Amino acid sequence: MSISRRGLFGLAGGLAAASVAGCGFAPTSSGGAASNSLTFRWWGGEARNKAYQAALKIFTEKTGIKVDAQYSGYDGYFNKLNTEFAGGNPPDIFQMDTALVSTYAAKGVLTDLSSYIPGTIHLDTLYPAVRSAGAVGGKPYGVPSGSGIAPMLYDKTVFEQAKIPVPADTWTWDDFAKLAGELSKAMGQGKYGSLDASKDDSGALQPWLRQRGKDLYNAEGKLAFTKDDLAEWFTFWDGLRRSGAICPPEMLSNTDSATGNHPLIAGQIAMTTGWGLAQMAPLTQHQLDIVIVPRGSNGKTGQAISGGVLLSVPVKSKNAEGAAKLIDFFISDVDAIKAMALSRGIPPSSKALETLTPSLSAADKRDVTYAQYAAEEVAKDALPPAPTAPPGYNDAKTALDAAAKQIAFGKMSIPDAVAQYFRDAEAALNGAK
Amino acid sequence: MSGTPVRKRKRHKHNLAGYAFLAPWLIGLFAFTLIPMVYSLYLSLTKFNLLTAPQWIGFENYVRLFSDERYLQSVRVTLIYVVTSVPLKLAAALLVAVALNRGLKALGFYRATFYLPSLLGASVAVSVMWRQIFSREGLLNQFLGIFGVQGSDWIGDPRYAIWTLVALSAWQFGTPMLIFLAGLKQLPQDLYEAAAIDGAGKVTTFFRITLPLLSPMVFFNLVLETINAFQTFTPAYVVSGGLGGPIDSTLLYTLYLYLKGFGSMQMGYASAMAWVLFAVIGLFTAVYFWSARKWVNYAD
Repeated sequence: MSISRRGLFGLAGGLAAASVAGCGFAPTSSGGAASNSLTFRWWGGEARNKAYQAALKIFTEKTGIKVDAQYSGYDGYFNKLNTEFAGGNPPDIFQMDTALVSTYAAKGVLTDLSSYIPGTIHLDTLYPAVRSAGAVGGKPYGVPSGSGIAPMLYDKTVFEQAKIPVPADTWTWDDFAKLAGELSKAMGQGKYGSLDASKDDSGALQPWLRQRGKDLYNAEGKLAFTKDDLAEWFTFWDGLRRSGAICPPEMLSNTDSATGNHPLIAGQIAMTTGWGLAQMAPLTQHQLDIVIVPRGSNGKTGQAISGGVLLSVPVKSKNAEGAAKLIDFFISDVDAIKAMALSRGIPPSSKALETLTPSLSAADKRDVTYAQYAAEEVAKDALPPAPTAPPGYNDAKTALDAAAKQIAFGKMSIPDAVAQYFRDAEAALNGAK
Repeated sequence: MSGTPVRKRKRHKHNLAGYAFLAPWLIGLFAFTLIPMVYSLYLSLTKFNLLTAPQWIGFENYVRLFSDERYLQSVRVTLIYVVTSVPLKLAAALLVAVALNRGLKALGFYRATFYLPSLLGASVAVSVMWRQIFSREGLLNQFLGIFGVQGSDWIGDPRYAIWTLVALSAWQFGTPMLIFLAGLKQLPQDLYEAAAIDGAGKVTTFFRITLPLLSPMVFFNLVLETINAFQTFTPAYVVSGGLGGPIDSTLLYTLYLYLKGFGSMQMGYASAMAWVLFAVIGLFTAVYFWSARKWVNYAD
């Protein structure tokens, strides 16, 4: 028994006909579905995931647009997204990192949202300082959902036990160094005053540079500091490391504030730069608090306002109109503002702040009052705003992490590590153009 | 050779049926293996950022590889990993197989137990567990603490991190063990009886009879495990938190390839890396086959 040629061709013809029929049918079905549904991707911890899902439920009730929610942690988030962009099948709307928006905008894969403003997206509800967080070359490629200024987090309980006064808002880097040393002594063996922040680009190095009238990047997307600056920065931290004021580099392998896998939670350190008060406070018996990052000797904070996370729409979004509606929902709708609360940063508008103030938890309130204070201090700095992180930013950031750790593990001298950083970071920034 | 036209047509028809049945596999081979491979060869000669069209740059990616210090580091790490983990794994597999081949009562149970880690294989769960065991506050250090030994942070220290991966690989010796065990069951018993009469001890018997007779199995496992070791990805990705750290000490080849291709969006460069790996694995395999004539004994 064998299949005749005619039979085989008949079969193939049937298959072809079926697939043609499939094609003919497809546009009507997906077109019909598209106006009524959205795929929406974000990264976040548990609190943010719950907040989003609650908000999306309200969105569907109000607009009839169904939202297919897809979420994960930050690790691997952009790798997966890159693969989908490459395959021409990205989500209809997704959460974007403020630092990466220029990288994606430069490649022409994000929708310029100008045409939806102010018709659909009411951008003017946001504070003026926050509105442009997603703008690249003057065009809005993302809309921020919260704002913030990265603080220094500390363990108040440890300070009290050691009878050391908590840092004042006026403290400088010298005060920080002294405090870290005293804390290390008081806390005992295997515990350290502070986390090693020599690798922290936006939370530590950037304010330090801006206090000196420089910055990480300039408006042309090049490095805006010199090798001498970086060598001085690394030398400062190397001294702290040698005196035992900051943690050894082995401890840096576990510093995920979203999962609570962090030396601050484990009680191994007392201070660290970065976000995460609201996420980490419930995970420890100790009382945590925040303070502004150490100032320069001229009293400037050098801080830069971040737009928190953005929402962006791919050019290949199947439902850009619906996506724009969802973006506006998050910034304008009172129910959405209530559902999201502070899960994506400090309220970015007076409307959001007024809506949320009555129901904030203690840690949330601390975040908000700190943000208001920090914003005033940043205004007093009278420094030019920090330029948007340039294309290639992510690789430049990785290069700083690598150079800092080479020094910390004693594998490279400071000049060698500085040279390696400049070579790798410049290659990343140039290559991304 | 040539038959009558009628027979020829019959054979043709016959073949057609064969190809029809092969079709699912053939389509898979072309759609998911051969065409992507050829495309990746093309990409390796281009600059391709995943989002805009590839630009032809010739052999530039291949040239750049050799001045990329992180690439050279990943090659070093991978060679250390392959050269240590493969012999360790095979030794463990052989040892356990010989131990199990002595007419144990609950052989099925032991076999399943030793095979279990391999079933879990390259899974994320096992790697996460490994991270927990070897971290600063992990199981191993708690165990050492009982004896008053202060263990270090095995995952966080670049001197030890790669060895936790080697240990993980050696622990998953189940598959080669099963193959060895099957081989051991086939060995002719009369040789052992003769050796026993001649007064050969256990060690002599193992090295003079068991190992030479088992050499085809050793060869097979060696080839397979070497190829697997070169392609190891998941454990390094999970244990190092996705970046191959600390200071690139666990930056296995495929992990760096992944970071370049999907993290830095340099898919052309990553494709060039893939083809170099393909060539190196081919070279290793060729050397194995060439040397096999000298040390592999087939029964016939």
